[in-house]
Amino acid sequence: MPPVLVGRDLHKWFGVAEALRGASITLDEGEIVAVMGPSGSGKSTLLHCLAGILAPESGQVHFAGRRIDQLPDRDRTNLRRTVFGFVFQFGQLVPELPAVENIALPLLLTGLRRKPALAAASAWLPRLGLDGLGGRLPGELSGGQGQRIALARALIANPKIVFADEPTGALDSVAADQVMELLVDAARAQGSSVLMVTHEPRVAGYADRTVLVRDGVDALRVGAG
Amino acid sequence: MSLLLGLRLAVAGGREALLRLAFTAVAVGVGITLLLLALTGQAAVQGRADRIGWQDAAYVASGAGERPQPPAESADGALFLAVSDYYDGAPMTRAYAAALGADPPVPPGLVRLPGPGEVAASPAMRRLLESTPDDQLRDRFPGRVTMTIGDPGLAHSNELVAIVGRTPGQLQGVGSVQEVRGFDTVPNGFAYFYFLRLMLLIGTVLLLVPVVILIVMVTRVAAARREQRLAAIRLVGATRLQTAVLAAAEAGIAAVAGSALAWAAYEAGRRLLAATVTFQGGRFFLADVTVARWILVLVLVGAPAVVTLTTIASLRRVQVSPLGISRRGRRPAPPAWHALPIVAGIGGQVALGPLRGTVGSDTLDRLAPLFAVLAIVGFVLVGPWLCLLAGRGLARISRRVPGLLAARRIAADPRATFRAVSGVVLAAWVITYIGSTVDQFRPPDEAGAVRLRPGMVQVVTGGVPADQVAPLRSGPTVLARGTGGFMVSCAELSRVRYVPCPHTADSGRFEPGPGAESMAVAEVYIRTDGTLAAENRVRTRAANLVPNAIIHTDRDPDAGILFFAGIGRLASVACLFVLLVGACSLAAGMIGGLVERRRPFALLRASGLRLGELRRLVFLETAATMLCTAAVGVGLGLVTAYAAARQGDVGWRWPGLDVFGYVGGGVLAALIFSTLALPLLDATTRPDTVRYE
Repeated sequence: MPPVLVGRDLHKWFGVAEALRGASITLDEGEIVAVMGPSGSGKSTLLHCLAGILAPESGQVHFAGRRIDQLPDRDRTNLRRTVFGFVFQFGQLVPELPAVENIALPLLLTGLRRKPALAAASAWLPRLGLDGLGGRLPGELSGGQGQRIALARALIANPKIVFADEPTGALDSVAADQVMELLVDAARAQGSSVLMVTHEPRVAGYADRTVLVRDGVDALRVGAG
Repeated sequence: MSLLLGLRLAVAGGREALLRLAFTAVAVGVGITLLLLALTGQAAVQGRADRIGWQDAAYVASGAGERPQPPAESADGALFLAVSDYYDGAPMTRAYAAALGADPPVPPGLVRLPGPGEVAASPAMRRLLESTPDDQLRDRFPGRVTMTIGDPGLAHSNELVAIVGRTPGQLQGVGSVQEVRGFDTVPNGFAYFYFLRLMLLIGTVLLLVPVVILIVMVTRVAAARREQRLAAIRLVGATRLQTAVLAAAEAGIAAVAGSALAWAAYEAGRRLLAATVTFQGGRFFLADVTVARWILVLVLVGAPAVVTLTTIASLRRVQVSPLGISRRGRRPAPPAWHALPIVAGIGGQVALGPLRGTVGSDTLDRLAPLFAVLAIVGFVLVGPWLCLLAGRGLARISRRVPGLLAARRIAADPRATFRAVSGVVLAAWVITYIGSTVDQFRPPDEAGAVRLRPGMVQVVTGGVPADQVAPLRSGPTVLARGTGGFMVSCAELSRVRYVPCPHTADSGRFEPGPGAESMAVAEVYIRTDGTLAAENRVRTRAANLVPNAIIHTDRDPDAGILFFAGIGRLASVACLFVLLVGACSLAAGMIGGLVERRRPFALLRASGLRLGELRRLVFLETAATMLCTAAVGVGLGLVTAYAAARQGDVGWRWPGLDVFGYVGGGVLAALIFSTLALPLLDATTRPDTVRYE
């Protein structure tokens, strides 16, 4: 089966600094891949290029056989909204929306009516261990709880790929484990691929495969352990 | 130390810090400038009234006005009379004065009272006298022009006014002549002037709040970025107090720069206003378009103080910890007692009208602004509650994400939402108030007015023997006799005026009865060939025969129309000011909201929220609350205008549709103006922003 996502010979500059120097990566359907590397190695840039958040200066990104790096911003936005899910390190929840509405956002964005969207979102709360907390605002949740909400939001629309940028970077190890278990279980259950950036080997251990990035190029691929 | 660090961060914190400093300084400067210029409006009207108060000396001395006899300022008095007159539609004042001793009072703008055979004229009047044939104008002012009335005695540099020096014998027995002991500069108690002053006073108070809100909004724009720096400084050991001082110093320096800018802009602006705004036929003297020195100092020093306090207060909402910023959780909904001040303020305003007769105008002068302030404070307290309702309503009807997000944002912090729109909402209040108040001066429709037919000259004598006006009757004339009511044949009158026949009950005119021929002549209507020269020859003859006569032709503008046009123009300038302030606040509020939510918005866009949807979200949360609260503001404007009319003893009538159109247009314009901030949305929330935030 062909890979669902392919990044080939990607180059990206920020001013005079070259963040990516010909990085390449593939992601198979249902596969969980961790991208690791030291700070400034270009791992987040790689994730952003693959997700269509940034456009690489050269190289190609293909999703499901279709080249996406040259798509206009509008089409890339559509792609992110319909087939990608995102989890970031912090600050990703809309502060004014209660937890359940934050989870329902991707469904609402696709045009689903509020009632079924909220019902689907509420169904996630017990799975997240957040039963009864759906009405709380993000400011009233702990870091781990907030990250679990973000996780549910990334997965609720049944995306093909979940991009996670340091999803446990702001959490303690217990909360980090909870989040990773949820992410891996949910992704496997619905067949989503996961591409996550992390600098923690412990978190990378949840992945099927790890890609090490150094100085903007993929330096080493490690098989599932 | 914190102070110095704050100053250093503000001026040497890189391009972004400098931009933030410049933005705050300019916006604070705009707010203060507009406030100062608005304050000059009141001073200008007061200054003009003071300059020409001397013309009402006889009226005041007669006891007809509300003011008592002016205090004596000279040992000997003078006989004095001032009469309204016109030349080719231009209003002029024709005054007569006769000294009653060696030390008579002297009107402002003159060094001595003109003696018999002398005439003191304003510069504009001198020019007109020189360019007009004697029998048309010059002869109306018997004597030699020996003096020029200076600026202190003129409403404006184009005012047409002359004082004819007479002997006491010449003025004794002339109707309306009064002995005056001084030409008090305090204007008399004409309801219109009193009302205008009250209107300006309340209007200024109403403007003060939008300006303060603008300053607060601008200060908060920089808050989000500032808070991040404060967290970093807390990390290295700064205490809460030190971070507060640091923030205050940073904001304070921008505000001080804004004050300095405002001072310069105010000096330029008042010159511009004096050179361009025409009120009642002339421009204001620059010396009048100014605020008292203590007010200037208070505003220029007070604004930076408000900015500094606002900065410190805004820190209360966030927890600046060494590990970063966390906002406090859900704030409680506004409590019910917040409705009390507005009820008290509006109730007090309305109650002052009926109390007018008992408490006196001075007490009204003091109480009216107090109630106005109370009403505004009440509105500021109630506004968030209205926003909360608007948010809940929007949540109920929203089907799409932008609507839902906007509704939740409003409901999550209705105070912040109201802060953003409050400037425009208060502007809606102020404009409705000003527009409705100005409408009280609108003269009756042309159809209802009783106008002279072309070529007719009307001489209102006040009741003189027929012999006195006999020289005017060489041609076809119509006489009205009597003093209480005018006896005149309606058929005859309809030949000189557009009047319906028979006389209506409220016209004050009756068909002549027995003995009417022996009554005093109250009005003489003289037919001319309709040329300006002929009309002015009649005017001149009539003025010499009956100096206190009020003379009209159909060329003369209605005094009400003139006054209405004047205050209408002032009101337009005031409304423009208020709207500008409101629109600036709205834009600042929008920008502040964007800066504060930069990261969540950027992440939403990274997750697939389209820019258009984000724009709709920001626009909706502004528009929904603004329309809801502006409607309440319009209602309050009507109530306040009604209360002011009752206080000023001016009859109330509903404002025209144009007032509502003006308010609606203004609110819409402000909304459109605020969309200028929307392009910023794209720049600040680009998905790649998530890398740097």
